[in-house]
Amino acid sequence: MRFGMLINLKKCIGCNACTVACKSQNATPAGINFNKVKKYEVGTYPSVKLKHMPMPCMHCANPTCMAVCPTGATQRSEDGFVTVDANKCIGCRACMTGCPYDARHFLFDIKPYYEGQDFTPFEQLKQKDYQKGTVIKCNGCMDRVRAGLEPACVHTCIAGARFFGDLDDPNSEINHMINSQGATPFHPELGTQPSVYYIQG
Amino acid sequence: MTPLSWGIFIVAAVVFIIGGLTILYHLVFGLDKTGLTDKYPWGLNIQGFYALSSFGTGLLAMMSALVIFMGAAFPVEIFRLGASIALALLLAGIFLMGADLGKPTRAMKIATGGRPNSPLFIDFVTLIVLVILSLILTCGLGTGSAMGMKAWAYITLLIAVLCMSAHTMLIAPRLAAGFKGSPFFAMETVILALWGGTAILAVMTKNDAASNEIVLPILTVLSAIALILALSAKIAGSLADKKVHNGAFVGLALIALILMIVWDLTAASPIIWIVAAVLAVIAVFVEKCESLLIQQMHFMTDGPHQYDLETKPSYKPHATEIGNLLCGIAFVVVLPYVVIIIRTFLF
Repeated sequence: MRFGMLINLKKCIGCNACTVACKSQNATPAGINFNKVKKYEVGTYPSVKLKHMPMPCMHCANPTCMAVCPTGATQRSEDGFVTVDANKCIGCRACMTGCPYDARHFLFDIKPYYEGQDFTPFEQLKQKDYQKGTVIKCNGCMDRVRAGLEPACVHTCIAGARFFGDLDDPNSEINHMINSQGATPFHPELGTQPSVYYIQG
Repeated sequence: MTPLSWGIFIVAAVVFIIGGLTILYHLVFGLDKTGLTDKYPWGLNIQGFYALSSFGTGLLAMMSALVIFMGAAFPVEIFRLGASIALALLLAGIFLMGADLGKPTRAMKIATGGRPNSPLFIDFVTLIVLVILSLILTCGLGTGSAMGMKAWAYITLLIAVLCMSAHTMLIAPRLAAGFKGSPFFAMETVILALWGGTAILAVMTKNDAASNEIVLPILTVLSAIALILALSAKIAGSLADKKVHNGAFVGLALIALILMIVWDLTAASPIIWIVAAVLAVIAVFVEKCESLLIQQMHFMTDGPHQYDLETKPSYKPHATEIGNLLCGIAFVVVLPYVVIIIRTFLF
């Protein structure tokens, strides 16, 4: 089993609901978003369009970030999730220099989200596993998925632009959509074998 | 020790202590005061680490090569001083690397992490072995035995070159992951380590004619190779319609090479090649910035999904990072003097 995601850029409206859902799910510290929505424009004036491209961790099957990790802190699970063990991470950031997808973040400091206030009970509860001086990243909502739920970003997408499923199952809905709509991963030529596919918008 | 030497030592010691406070800060409190960002995960600390450890490995490689070339005729006392400088360079590099870790207390996990093919593991192990090898020569152990010195030289040469190649591997995944970079990066990394080490060795052996006769031509040749590799990177970049940002390095290498050739052809004052050697050291330090920190290391945008609206953030080192680097450089001056003082007063 290898979980993967399909993002339909024709449907994505750039509302950032996925970003907020991810933030709520993971209580990422201020300034850190696992699920970014990149903005870009196509065409030339006056025929210009603003486009959006959600960029979660690609949970690559051949992750360069894992190859360079000197302590084995970055691991890839059997079901395809690339995760960081904060207790093993030494904060060398070699993984960040090797990731082509902007998916990793270094915890320079952990501060309360609201300046001048203490950590909220929510932050205290959800941030207990974060350690200053280590690298964090999207874990694919691994706990939700293993409990039979979709990742928070997929569940919340109001445009229905995201699909989640098993890439190893040739009969899965996600594989059917990838094949029928000609979806491609981001920079497949890098050989990282991303698990996130895009339908061009 | 002349009054001038004492003056240099005291000034360097003061800088070392003040800069040491910033290293101590980072070791204790982490990287909460830094100019680094997620877009610039490596900065001045890593630039300093790369440069200082390159000088250390290059110096040890060239000294071991000279021991092999010259046999028993190599200048023992000068090389013992050189070994103490190499020791200081390697330790200063390790300090900078330690200060740059988010969790410095876990540094030993590099050795125990069970990832022997990780470039950082190879780098860590080779640096530790080189520290031990330079300490052996600093203490003069085995210098009385021709066989012992040859064994030291062969082991040091192999480990030093392995360490240089580990430095190229550290950045290899970044290039493989699609970041721009010089196509000659790996070769440049090795040549520049040798070039910087040779420049330091040349200045050290300036009063030893036998060593100088070998070292200075090598310095000229390495200056030429370093320049041509950098120029070739520019040409290769233009073929792919990409700009390779190594202008400062090319300028410095060109001046250094011209000075070396002028000195060789005219047999002018040694000050000319000393200036060239200093320029070589500066050029290598600058190259570490150009190859690691700036534009070419940004992700290529010519993929199927362009996103060009993002502003590229700039990197400005925090005062603590500058303090770390000054501490490292000062340590390179302080440690050899401490060795000299100990040897003068105790032995």
